[in-house]
Amino acid sequence: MEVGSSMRLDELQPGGRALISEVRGKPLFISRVCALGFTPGTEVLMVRNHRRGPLIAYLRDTLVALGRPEAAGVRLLARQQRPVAEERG
Amino acid sequence: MQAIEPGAELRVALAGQPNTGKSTLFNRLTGLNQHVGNWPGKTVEKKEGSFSVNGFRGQVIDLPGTYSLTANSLEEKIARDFLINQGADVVVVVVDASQLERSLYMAVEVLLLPVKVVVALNMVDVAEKMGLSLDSKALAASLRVPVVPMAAAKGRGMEELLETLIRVSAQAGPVQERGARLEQAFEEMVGSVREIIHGAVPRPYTESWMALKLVEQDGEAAEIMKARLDDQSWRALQDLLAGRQDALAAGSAARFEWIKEALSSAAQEKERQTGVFTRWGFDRAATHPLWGKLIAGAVLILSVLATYIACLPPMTLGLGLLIMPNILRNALSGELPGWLLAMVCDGILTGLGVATCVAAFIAGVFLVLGFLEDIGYLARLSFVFDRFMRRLGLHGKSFIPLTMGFVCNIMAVTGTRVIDGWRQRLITLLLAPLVPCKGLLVVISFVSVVFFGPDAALVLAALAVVMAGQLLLTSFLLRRGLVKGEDCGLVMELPPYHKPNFRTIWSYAVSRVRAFLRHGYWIIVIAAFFTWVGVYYPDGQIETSYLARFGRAVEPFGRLMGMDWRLLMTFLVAFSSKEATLGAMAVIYGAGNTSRTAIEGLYMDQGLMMNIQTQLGAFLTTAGISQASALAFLFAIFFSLPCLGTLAAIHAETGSYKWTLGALAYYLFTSVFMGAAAYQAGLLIFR
Repeated sequence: MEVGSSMRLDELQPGGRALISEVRGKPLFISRVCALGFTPGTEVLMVRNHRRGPLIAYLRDTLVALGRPEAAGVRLLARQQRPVAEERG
Repeated sequence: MQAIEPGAELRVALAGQPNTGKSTLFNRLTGLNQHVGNWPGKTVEKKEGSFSVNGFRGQVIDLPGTYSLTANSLEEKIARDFLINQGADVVVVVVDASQLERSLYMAVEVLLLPVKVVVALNMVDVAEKMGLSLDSKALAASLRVPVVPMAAAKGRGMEELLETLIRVSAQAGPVQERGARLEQAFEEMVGSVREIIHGAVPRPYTESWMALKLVEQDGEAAEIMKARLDDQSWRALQDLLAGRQDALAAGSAARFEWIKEALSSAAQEKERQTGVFTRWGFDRAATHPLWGKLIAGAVLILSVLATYIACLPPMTLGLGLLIMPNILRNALSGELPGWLLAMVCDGILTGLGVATCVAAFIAGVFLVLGFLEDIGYLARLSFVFDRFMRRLGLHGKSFIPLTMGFVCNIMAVTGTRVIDGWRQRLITLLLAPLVPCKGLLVVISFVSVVFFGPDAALVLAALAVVMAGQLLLTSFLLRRGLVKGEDCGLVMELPPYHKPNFRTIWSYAVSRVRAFLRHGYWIIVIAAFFTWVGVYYPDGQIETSYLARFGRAVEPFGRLMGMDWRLLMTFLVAFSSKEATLGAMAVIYGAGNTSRTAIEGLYMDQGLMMNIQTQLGAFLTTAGISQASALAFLFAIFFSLPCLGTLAAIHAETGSYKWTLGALAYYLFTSVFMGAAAYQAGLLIFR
């Protein structure tokens, strides 16, 4: 994937880190995810992401659960890093 | 704002995000001097309490726990309006020291308002254990408000907090504006907006706050200013703000920048922690798609057991009330007029007994639920069942209230308060009557065993399959078109696990039981009383009572479902309360030596239930009810006439007759429809 191209949070693999580029959705959604720390420029770490079902991301000292459709509203800069050993599982 | 004199009453508002220990602090401050009600005109809980220290009396208002102060959700609007209208002398913002960066977000939101602020830096003990060293003085200096380090669960820091509150409230003069740091993020934009709205901002809003909120596309701020500005200025404002849909996110980012700056001097990590994975241990299993569900299942089973144990002590009170009539009848028969004795025994005491048993159950459930929430596990339950609930068009947060529906639908309806987003909450509470409560399950299993013997399992399976279908259909109808509005789906913090704080859990359960005692309790009692009136009058014989006459009058409709007036009456009693149904059958079909009109309390009386098991079964099978009629009865009562208490709860939570009567009409229709369909099917099957 090209650097700088857009990727959705639900596409981020477990253990992967990426910067948030943008949050899309209705005002209630935007204000909720932003207040939980999902603001543009923030680094997010994917903790749990199975093919289906909700996922768990970690940012600003907080574990946040997002439904899969909701996670699709959070866009990332596609700068995914290689998973490191400690983050497996 | 004037200074507070000793002897005067200090009004303190508690603000903060969920899971920051706000309730624990509230309970520490007020003890059990609490009052729980609703915010005026809203179905959001309002907790108030009082304290007194060194001659100061104080009143504490616990604002809804919210992540920010936008106008996008009901809770946030309530908190924001309260703060803006200066309902408090001092605002305490509770933040979690172990998740400081995020929980300070709410503090920043409050700092933007012209109110006196004290930051309660809670859970410093947890933060210390994590290797975080926090300099509260440095934090206070950079935020320019007092910061009190504390551990509310252990009572640490309470005195300093109270001293600080009194000191801050005594400061005279207007509060400095603190928003300059944020306005820089939007460069000259905020300034330009200020120029346009200058002089038109109504009190108690400040110009700077209004300008910032307008830039951030706040709907309520725009509405207020639209009413105040002339057309030309309004259009100029709109031109200026157009195309800045990203401003909300940009504003949030700027707030976090502000927080980072404040923390750079105040927070230090002693030793490098490996971040999330030090906390990840148990959660690795608890959020796993398979193990997580197994753990959740085990937790739910243990919770049911714990609930039964926890509700035993108050339950004995309810059972006592149910036994009372027998004693009274023996002691007083002949000394009191028959109708009076019957009214006291069957009309009042049994209703009180049943309602008390339900209250006991609610106490047990909320003690257990409060425990799960306090230790932090509850959010994991919502997480693991999210995928399952999505199939019903809901999301994980609806799981807990709907599960409580198996105990009591009234609880399920009030339990929907855990769901943020009005739309999701409304859909969930309208679906609640579809969940069979334990009162109904007793009836269903009993009647199906009596009539279908070993085939009862098939009948129950059929009910379960049809229920799944009806859930899907009803949820579909509600989502497509019936319920409008917004919700933000599943966006949920998974809070760190904590040791349970039993004070918090206790006061949570007490407040839930008090809420039930205010409304639901009396509805059960009143419904029981009127049911008794219906079966007792005019002449004390159930066969010729008003309810029986009504049953006979609507018998032609009942024929659709193959139900005669006696089954119809049972059906009507089930509307008053599901728990009363078996008792009603026992009386109506003349089983055993039960009091002729004592139908409410029977199900709680174990000896009598045994009696019914043997005798009612025999009576019912010889009463000339065909299997097709029995099947119709089962389907009609299962799908899913809500009881009066549930309807009252729906009305209390929605504040709308439209939704309440709509739910009644819909479920009455599905009841009759399912009953009729089952009867026709039964006629074919049981030829």
